[in-house]
Amino acid sequence: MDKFFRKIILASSLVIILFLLLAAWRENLSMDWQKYQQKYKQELFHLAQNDQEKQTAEEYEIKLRQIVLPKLGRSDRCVTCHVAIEDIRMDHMEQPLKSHPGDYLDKHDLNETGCTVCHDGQGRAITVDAAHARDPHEYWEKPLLDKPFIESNCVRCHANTLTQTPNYNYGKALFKKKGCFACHSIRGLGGAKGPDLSDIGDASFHVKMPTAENREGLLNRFNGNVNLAYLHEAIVDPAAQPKETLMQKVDFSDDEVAGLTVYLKSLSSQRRVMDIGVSEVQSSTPLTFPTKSKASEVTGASSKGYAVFNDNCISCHTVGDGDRVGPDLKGIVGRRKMKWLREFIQYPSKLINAKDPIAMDLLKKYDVVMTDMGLTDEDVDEVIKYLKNPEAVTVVSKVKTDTKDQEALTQGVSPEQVSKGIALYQGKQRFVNGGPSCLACHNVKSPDVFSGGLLAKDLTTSFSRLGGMGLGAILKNPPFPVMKKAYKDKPLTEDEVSAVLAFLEKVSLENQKEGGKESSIEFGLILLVIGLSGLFGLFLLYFLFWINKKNKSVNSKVYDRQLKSEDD
Amino acid sequence: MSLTEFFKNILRLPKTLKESIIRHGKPTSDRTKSEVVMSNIFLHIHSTRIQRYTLKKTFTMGLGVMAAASFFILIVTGILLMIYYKPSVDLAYDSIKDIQFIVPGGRFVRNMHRWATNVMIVTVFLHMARVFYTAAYKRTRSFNWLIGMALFCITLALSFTGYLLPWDQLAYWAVTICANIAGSARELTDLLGITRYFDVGGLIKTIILGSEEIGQDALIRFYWLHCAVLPLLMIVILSVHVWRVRKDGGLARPDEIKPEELAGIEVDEKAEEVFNNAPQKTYGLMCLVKGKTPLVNKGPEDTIPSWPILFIAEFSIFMFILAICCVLAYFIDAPLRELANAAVPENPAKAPWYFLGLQELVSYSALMGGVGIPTIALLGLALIPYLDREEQSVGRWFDNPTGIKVTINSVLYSSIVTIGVLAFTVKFGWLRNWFPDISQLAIILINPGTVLVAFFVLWSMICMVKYDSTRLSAIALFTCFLISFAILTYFATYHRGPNWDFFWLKSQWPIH
Repeated sequence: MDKFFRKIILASSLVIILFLLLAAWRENLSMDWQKYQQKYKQELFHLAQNDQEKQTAEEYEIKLRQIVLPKLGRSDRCVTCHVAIEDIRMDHMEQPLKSHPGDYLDKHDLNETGCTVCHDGQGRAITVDAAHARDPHEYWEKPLLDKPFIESNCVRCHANTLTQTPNYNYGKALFKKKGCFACHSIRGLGGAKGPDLSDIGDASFHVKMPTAENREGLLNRFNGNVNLAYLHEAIVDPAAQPKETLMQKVDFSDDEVAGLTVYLKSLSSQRRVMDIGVSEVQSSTPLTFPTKSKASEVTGASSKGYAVFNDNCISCHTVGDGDRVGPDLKGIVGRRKMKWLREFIQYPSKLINAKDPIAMDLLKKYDVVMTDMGLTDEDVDEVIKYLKNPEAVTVVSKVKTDTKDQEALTQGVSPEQVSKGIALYQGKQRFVNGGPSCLACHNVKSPDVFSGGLLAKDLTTSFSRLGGMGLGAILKNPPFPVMKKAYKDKPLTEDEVSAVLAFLEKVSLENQKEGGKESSIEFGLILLVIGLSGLFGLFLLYFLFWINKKNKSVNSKVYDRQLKSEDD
Repeated sequence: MSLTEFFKNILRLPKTLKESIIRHGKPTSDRTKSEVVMSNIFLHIHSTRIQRYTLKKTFTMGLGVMAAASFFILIVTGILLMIYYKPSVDLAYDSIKDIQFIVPGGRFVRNMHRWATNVMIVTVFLHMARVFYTAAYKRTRSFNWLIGMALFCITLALSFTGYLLPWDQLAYWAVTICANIAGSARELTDLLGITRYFDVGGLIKTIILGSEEIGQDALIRFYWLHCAVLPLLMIVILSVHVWRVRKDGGLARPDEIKPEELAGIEVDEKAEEVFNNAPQKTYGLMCLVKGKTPLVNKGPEDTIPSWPILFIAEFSIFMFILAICCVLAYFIDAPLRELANAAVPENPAKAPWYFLGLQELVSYSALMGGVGIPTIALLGLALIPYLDREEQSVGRWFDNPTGIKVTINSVLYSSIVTIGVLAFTVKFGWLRNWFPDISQLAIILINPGTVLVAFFVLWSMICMVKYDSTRLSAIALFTCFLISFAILTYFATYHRGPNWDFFWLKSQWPIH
């Protein structure tokens, strides 16, 4: 019995010691970076020409090295293996001991930029596999980038066009020239027919991954970089996924594909956020596109055509507002022949391929290829009908009565503004000039905020009573003595006024809607109900505790017994 | 004079120091052996003498000690991890990466922590099953079973709160799932149309997360629970649990033990003698006190001194668990995916493995699977000792041949029912697929989860009637739940893919 347990102790101890030793060995003695640094040290000896250099080589320490970049939130330990990255004498060595090619390090101070800002990869890791992060099955976020894709990271800091990034520049130009933004938008600019590409360069493999058939090959080709593999597939073979895509296959040359891939890879939330003061020029003024108002009702003879125009053409064309990417289409029906117009609207590529003279002229003038938008014959008829007489369409802002639709509820006031208004009203966000929050004095019946003070008037219906203008004026220059004093020298900014207005407008609207029904419930009432029920709960609890209470004296039993025995 | 005394004192220092710490002599006699146990604060939680049956290997299998041992490993590794871990949304993930890559021994310690967690959960489950099947919750031990239930819940809570701390995708989405399960009372309030006024689910969720979404508040809350509150609770309640074992008269054991059952376990010859020949031994006031105390009506006790055999046994189990954790920690790294990203949901987002059985039920009805059935199960488990008050012999697995038969039948029954219901659901769908407009109330009441429960309750009732025994009925029900839980967990782990669809293999998962 005893022996059995002792044997277990012995065996377990041996296993524990063995594995602790193994773990220690794995962590301290088997690391590749130690070998690399040893090799570097030998090379230093080899290259040493005088005593001082020998001394330096002698003193070279084998240790973990890292570049800490608090501003960028990174710790790049790449230099643990790539120790010679700044040592130009190591030009002849093999990786990882080779010095950095080109003159990039002259302009990019390693201690300020680090490695992963440009190269990606996992800077914190100290093993080759983990640092280069090329295995897509291990959930690495940003595998090391190869040429030419590394160009896509320059935009993390640089706003200016760089001569060192030919592929990126080419891709960027191509994106415009090929009319990609007719369907795809970037940062809110561009069409809405295709997916938004704003952060496509960040897409995790959970979101974007090549299809199963292409996956293996593409991942090998791009060294396990899922993001690049996906972008490549999407550019070369748009129909791979989703199958029912509207996007047509374009025969790009390899250079064009590379350029576009680099450009798309650069589209990320990291864009420009890492600027540590290298760009003097701000980003070039972007193209402006009109935003379509969703909450509007279109009536008129060619309302269908207006819808088609809005969905497909508005990214590039205006009607009467001047040329943008493509020409202004006002009066186009009078200028061009109907048959040509019809054909060009439906299949512009056909005419361009056929070297149609007018199409060639247009191409020359605007330098952007018009895209086949996949319009049906009916669509084309409608859109031409609309273009013939654009004035026949009246656009009316539409108010939905659906209570669920927050957007409709606030009648075109953006939800961000409302939420900012809520924050300002409650004092969660301070007024810029330091004025007190509204909640301190005013109450508003709204599910979004707590009950406020009772010092001043209830603002629930203020908007409907005073209107935006009047309320705005009060907010800017309060006529009431207390409020005047409170906001003296602390006026609300224009932006804050409109935010608070937006919130009050929403509250007012909500209240109108619920006017008849008594469904709007106040927090006060809820608290009262909770409090009362809590009180009753407590009473019940006390009752339960005392239910067994003896209501006779403790020794009544003894007393009874005595009486009984006396009786006997 | 005093100078010589002083030097003598210096020379005697080792001896006097030792004597001041340990007042008894070498543990050779019964008396000193008892003193070793009694005079040591850590050992005295055991009694000085133990029943020989306690050491029977096939009886307890050391599962309780295993769970305690893994908890000890978790405390030590957890304290080490706390040095480097930073509970901030911005720093947490990077600090874990640093622990993984450059903290000396960090990777190993983190892996140990992860593996000890899993070992602990498994052993806690098995320990509970052992106590149930050996009827060790009966008689004086009812309350300790309740304490055990509390420990069970704390174990799961500890593991769950720790799950969020790495702040990676796995953590973020697993906790999101669980927070949504906690908020699933909304399903009922929605149905009644009172969510606007009385949002219990939302309230619970907000209390757990500290805000609407998982963010800094949730992280610091989980950190606080994981590192301070729950471990303290665990230690206190665990002490009570072990102390109660002693107060309840040691581990459960049968009333009549055949000598061959104790083969191989040391005998203390003196035990027979001491207790037989002590007719003057009284039980004091105990016979006047209401209710049962452990020692009344007992014959001569078959005990041996705890020292050293019990401690050797416990230490060997600890070393065994430590060895297992070391081996696992060396070969298999704790998972760490990409940084948590609220914009990119994992698909499928899966809860920690021990909650996957529940998640499978949640996929049918959040309220029933997430709140209803777990509450019923926990409540049922907690009430077992109070509902099943049959007098019987305790301390033997499945009691007797009938018990074994009922257990085997229950295993077969619940396997067939569970697999059947799962197969049916996968193949034909459920009410919502057939009647798209059906009221949610119908789904809440009739879903595969409740159907399973109904099947099990029915079976348990049949057993109750057939054998006329609450104990056998309890065995039937417990076995059904246990097996069903295991099958559901397995099923949800391996056969549920993106959108919670069924797949035979993980390699068949579609990735877009």
